[in-house]
Amino acid sequence: MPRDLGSAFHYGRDVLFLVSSALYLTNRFFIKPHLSGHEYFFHGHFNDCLLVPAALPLFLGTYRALGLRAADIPPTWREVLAHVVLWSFFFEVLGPDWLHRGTADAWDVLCYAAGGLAAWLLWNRRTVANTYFKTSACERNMPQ
Amino acid sequence: MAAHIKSFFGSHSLAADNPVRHISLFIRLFFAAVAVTLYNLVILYAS
Repeated sequence: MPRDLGSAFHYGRDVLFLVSSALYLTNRFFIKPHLSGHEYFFHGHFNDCLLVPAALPLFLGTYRALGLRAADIPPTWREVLAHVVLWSFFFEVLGPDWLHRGTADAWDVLCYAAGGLAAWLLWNRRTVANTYFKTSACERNMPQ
Repeated sequence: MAAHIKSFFGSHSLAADNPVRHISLFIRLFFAAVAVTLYNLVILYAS
């Protein structure tokens, strides 16, 4: 898949990262404490959906600083998928079973994946648009 | 093995201005693993 080299990724200054982090912290400190324990989405899954856009840029910035990431390109699907698998194992298996912190829930994994897919699409929107809508754009420019 | 790891991270050639380019790949992977573990623990205990 050709990559648009003009779209640099800004890690800790990425807009999606900043918005997701703000929403994550707002829910953690201002929304969740004021909701009843029976409330489901904001207590259980909202922050899970924000995990990839709010955390992955910090991880990738660390890899870049260590020389393990060659270029400042938006996160690839392999990077997103690898971290979704890593976090699913860490937060749903290691955390509850070994560290006795958190609860294992298959829906959390689905939230990580859904948030990761949405974030990947937003980070790679130019590449995705160029790849999947190029044909129709060419057809539109063709003389009749 | 090292080539596979570099390929996964898309790191076929390291940036010329990288200050840690002289450190071996496996030491950098060790530091990355430590950082990932610390980040994950912070997320786990802060959530």
